[in-house]
Amino acid sequence: MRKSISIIAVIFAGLLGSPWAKADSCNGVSSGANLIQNCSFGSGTLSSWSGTATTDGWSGVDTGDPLAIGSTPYNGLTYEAYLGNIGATDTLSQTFATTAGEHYTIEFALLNDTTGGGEYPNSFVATFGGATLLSEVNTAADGYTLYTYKEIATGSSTTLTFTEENNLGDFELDSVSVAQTPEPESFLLLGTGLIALAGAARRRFSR
Amino acid sequence: MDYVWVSNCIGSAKQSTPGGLPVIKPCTRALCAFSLLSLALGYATMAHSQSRSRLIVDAVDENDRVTLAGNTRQEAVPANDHGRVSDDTPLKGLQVVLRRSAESEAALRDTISELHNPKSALFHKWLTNAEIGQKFGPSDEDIETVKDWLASAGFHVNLVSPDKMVIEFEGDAGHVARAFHAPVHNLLVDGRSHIANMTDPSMPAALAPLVAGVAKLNDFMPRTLNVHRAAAGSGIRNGNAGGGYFFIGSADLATIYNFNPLFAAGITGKGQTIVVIEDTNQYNAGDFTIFRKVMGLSRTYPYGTMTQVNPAGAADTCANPGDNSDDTEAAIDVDWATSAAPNAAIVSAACADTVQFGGFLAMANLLTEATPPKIISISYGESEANDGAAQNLYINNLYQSAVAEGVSVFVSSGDELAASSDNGNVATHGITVSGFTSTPYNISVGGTDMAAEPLGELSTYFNSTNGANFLSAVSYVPETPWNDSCAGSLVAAYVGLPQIGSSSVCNYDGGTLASNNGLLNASGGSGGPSGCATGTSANRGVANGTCAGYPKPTWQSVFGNPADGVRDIPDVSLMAGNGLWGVYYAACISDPRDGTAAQGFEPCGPNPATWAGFGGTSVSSPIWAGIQALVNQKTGQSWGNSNTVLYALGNAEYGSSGDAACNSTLGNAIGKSCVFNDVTLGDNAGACDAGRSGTFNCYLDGAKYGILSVSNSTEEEAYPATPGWDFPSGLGTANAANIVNSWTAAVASIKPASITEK
Repeated sequence: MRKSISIIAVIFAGLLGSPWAKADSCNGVSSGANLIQNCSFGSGTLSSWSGTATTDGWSGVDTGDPLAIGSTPYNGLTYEAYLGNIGATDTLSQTFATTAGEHYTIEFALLNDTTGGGEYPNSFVATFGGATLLSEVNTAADGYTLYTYKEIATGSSTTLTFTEENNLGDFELDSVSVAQTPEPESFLLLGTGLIALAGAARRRFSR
Repeated sequence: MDYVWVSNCIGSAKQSTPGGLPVIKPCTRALCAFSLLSLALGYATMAHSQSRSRLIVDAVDENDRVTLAGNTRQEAVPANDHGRVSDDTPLKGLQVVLRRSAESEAALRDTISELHNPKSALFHKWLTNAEIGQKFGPSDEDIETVKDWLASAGFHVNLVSPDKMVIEFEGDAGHVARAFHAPVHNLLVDGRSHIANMTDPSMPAALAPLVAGVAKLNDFMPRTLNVHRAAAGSGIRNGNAGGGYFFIGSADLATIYNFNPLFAAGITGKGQTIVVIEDTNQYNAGDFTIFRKVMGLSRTYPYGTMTQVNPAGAADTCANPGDNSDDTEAAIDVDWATSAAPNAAIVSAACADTVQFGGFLAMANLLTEATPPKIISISYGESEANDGAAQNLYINNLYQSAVAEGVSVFVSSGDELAASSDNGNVATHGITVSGFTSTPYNISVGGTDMAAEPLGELSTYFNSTNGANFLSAVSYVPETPWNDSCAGSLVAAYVGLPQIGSSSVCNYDGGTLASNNGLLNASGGSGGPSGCATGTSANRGVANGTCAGYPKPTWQSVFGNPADGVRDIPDVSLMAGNGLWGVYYAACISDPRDGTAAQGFEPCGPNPATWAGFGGTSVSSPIWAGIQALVNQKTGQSWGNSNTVLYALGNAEYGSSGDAACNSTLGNAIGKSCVFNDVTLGDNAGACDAGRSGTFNCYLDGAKYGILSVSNSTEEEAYPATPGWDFPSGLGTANAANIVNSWTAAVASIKPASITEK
């Protein structure tokens, strides 16, 4: 029986990520499983990320958003990225290896510190391999929200891109994760296997 | 309710209940002397308020009238007259301005002196607006007499101000014509329609001991004191390295005027409120937000805010003005107040204009609130001679109440050099100053310009590329009075032509060069002597006839200030140039009605170089208000008329002969301990011409255009920058950190005699 439980634990850790695996994990996804590097900007920089946001001077990393006085990085993290391009959109992105046809779970936490609109709009778009996950325009100021999406990769590499403009304030982005997830059929097989294991164990104990 | 103040002999004071008996603790002889003096004053005040006698003693007789002289606009001439307005034309916001008895006025002035005297038990025991009225205002019976007369003339009385100095009423033009014998006419002036009385009003003589006049019977509104950035390539400016301009951003301001040590020490204006007075709402609050973001203020100083208010007052006399063409001024004011005090709360307070300037209505209502704002900045102006005697008294009374309530009032000195009656045109009315800024109760803020380019030192003081937050200023920069006129000595030296005479810059090529480049206009920081706060001009708009200036306040005694017996302006200055020498202020104002997109009147992008650019004392005033916010934060209190301290600081620096180490032309070598940067290079002399009714303060030297001069017959330039105090720059410009850090010591040095109200 001990061997069976260990096998189950390994299976779950591999498929769903392990919330206790590492301290710098994002959304419970271990750094090994998370395809995003520097997922919580723990380096204190935008390293591993690319795009115009890394160079235009209107984005960076902070330890709390002064425009939303009292706010701190998401879920007890140390750092967060602020994104606030003026007059045009900029991008923050990361490209990683994927397997075409495989399922992936994408999560990120997002905060907007200043309501936009009129002459000074804001917009935020998140895409995964070109597929739009989130598209918001002139959102009101609000605290962190964790967004979760499930997508199927279409190629051997995929780019997660955040495109934003925030004239008056900043978006705060934190805890970004992309992890491969089992296909629904895999869950079905796994569930069947677990039921079988449970049945076998019951028969064994009932003897 | 009357209060007496009881010294406890340890430098503080306790308030007793009315009529309560004070208990005097053992104290030193000197302290007891102060205590007894304070008690005497307190009791005297109480006794004064209880024994206030009536001023109106005769019955009102419509046939026995007095003329309220000095209350007709210079534009009210036959050439502009388009006939009477119809009798049913409504006139709202009319105001009778009251005056106190000589005894009451003296008592209030004594009290204001005590409120500012650090050795008095009344020090900083500010009054409320209502207390001012109760203690020093006219009797209720007298006020009722005036109200009854107004009602009998068909007017509706809206309110009596709590300080009892204004009765606001409304009616129509017919009522005004019959009651004041001053029909209101339609005028067409420079293509714009106005209304105004054509002759001085009159009223029953019985009311004259109390009623000084009607503040305004016209709809001329004050000028906003900002000037757009000079067009690239225009004027005598030949550009600098790269042919471009340097805009002053918030980081530049902090570097040039040494704010950074204060900011680093947490003196950022946090917990303070600065009110900018307007007659318009902000066009778009987002302009302020993006200004702070782009200038790097919002993330570093997150407590800075901007709020738009339309203070109603107890009688709901404030109509929401919406946003109008003055919204550029409103944007400049909030942008630069937050630059100087980036964690302060900025309040933009506005009411719609009636016949009175809406900004004053807003200010008056704010002063009646339970907790009036402690710092006010006003960036509007109108000459004393154009205001008229009644409006000048209205302004004086308003500011007087403010300082008695502990409010520091900063007012732009003007953008018309020493010729405020000429509205920025070539001077034809002689030396005049703005009545908005010439009272003894406000801090008048003048304007300088950066002198790096005329000194050939542009690259020394400005980097060709911006650093963080668009910082390009390297250090303190040599300054000169802001003067865009062809009559200025720096302009003459720069182009290599004489300053006066037929071959001068102003007269070169028949004046074409100067005219084509706008250099004949009186555009630059205003400064001069108060000359027509009271009395009547012999020539409208000119400070002559029976005109007289405000008496010189006792605190305005410092090396360089002339013994002219009158209030001189400005008191202090800061950079206000609009680009003649390549430097101007950037501000975010996106209202397309105020200018073209090419001029920057569009949504503000990430680079302030594309924004609208300005100069003007409307920038320097809110910055000084910001400095006051830093003082208030550091000292934990408000200061009312801060001139009492600023001149103490000036005397400490200049002594009896000036301080060469603080000469502004030293630039980055200026003394590190200087509180004021002493501007000594250049002048605020403007071009002048013979006027319609004569030649006033204009030394022509045989040419078409002359130089504004104290004398018509000899050259007495009005005015040169000189060591110590001078008319173009007052005490000088600020070293903000040294001012704030020296404030408390300066207060301790104040001699009571130096702040005694006359």
